[in-house]
Amino acid sequence: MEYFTQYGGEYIRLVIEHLQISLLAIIVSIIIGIVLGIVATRFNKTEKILLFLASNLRIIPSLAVLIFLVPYLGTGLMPTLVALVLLGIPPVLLNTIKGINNVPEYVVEAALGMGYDKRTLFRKIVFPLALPVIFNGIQITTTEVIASTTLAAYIGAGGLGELIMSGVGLMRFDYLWIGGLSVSAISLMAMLMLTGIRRFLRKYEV
Amino acid sequence: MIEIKDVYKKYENSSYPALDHINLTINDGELITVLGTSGCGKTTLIKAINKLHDIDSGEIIIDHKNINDVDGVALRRTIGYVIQQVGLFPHMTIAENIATIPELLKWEKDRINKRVDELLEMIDLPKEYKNRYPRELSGGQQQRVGLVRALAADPHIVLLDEPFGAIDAITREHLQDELIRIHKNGNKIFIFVTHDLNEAFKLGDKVIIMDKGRVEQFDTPDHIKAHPATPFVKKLLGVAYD
Repeated sequence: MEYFTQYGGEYIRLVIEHLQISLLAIIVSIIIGIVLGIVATRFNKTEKILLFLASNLRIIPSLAVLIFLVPYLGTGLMPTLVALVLLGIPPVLLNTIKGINNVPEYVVEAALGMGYDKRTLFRKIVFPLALPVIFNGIQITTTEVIASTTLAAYIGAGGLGELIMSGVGLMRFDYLWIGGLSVSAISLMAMLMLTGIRRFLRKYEV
Repeated sequence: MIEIKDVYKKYENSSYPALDHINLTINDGELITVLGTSGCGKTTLIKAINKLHDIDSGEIIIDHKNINDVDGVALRRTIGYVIQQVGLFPHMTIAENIATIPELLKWEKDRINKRVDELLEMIDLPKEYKNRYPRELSGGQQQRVGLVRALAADPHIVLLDEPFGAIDAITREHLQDELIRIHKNGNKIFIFVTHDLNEAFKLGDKVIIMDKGRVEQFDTPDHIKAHPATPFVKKLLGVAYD
């Protein structure tokens, strides 16, 4: 508790940094993930390649990716973002592909038979129906990125990881607790927000 | 009027053509049923009419226009299409589903709303159903909505591909009667595909009997029963009427 009275301002700075980094990484992951996912469903070969890459990318520990990038991108925000985005893309990408492929064929057939052109078909039928699954991917990405942003501290990019690292270095358990719980709290709130948004997607469930 | 002239289509891996030199003329106001077993070409035939499939050779001429010269998307907006699984859009209300083609054709909102109300009345569905979602309706109700959805823009031709295949026998009879009633009220061409002989003979002014891509006989039900044209037709009748 004394931590907050002593380092209150510092704490807020760390939280904001953490939020900024996470949010940026999440948004970029979502955009790239969805775009690549859509492209993948149009070309069979691309789909196979991307599925392979995505499934395997998740296995590589983000910390390793991060350290690997340092010689090329330096320290600070850039390599952190790259590592986090690499982590964040697969769930969105995989779920975009799955969501689009799961739209029942007969719904597409009925739409085409009625005279939908391909563009409108995608915009009004396929994408809305794929949205619930895509959103699940977004939820996964959000949780993973918020948690992994703690790594940013390792290369001096800021965020609550710094608090955790200090806690380890100085053997201050209160730092560890506060750092860890704060990240969890942010994650939880993000999840609550997303779940709230999900409610509006109810009608798109097949 | 639909003229099918020497239409031929063969898929690479099959042993016989999907459409083997089909020649037919269908006149305005006729309810034609297409009868045959799986793989006989009946679905391919109607999908060729609305250009969901293309053909290798021959011509399909609708109201004196060769469909080759018409854009597929535009053509399909003028031809009603009903499939067995219905394919109502789960994320749209009943009203939005029915309004699909009018929306694509950019009708005014008022005109669309009026039309939706008209069509719900046609199938005896209360107004409260307008804002319900397909999953809230029974199978029979969904199929009826699917039918009026195809009729929304008042198309001259309606293609139905085994629309009642997944419906229970009792409801199916009601739907058949309803279909006949709706057809009688206009001058439209209905082409109704089925593998059920009784259904084909009950509904059709004329029946196209197909097997392996060929038309075995195309005539009124009575004529077919009295004068089966080929051994295949004889066998088909024998199975049903023995």
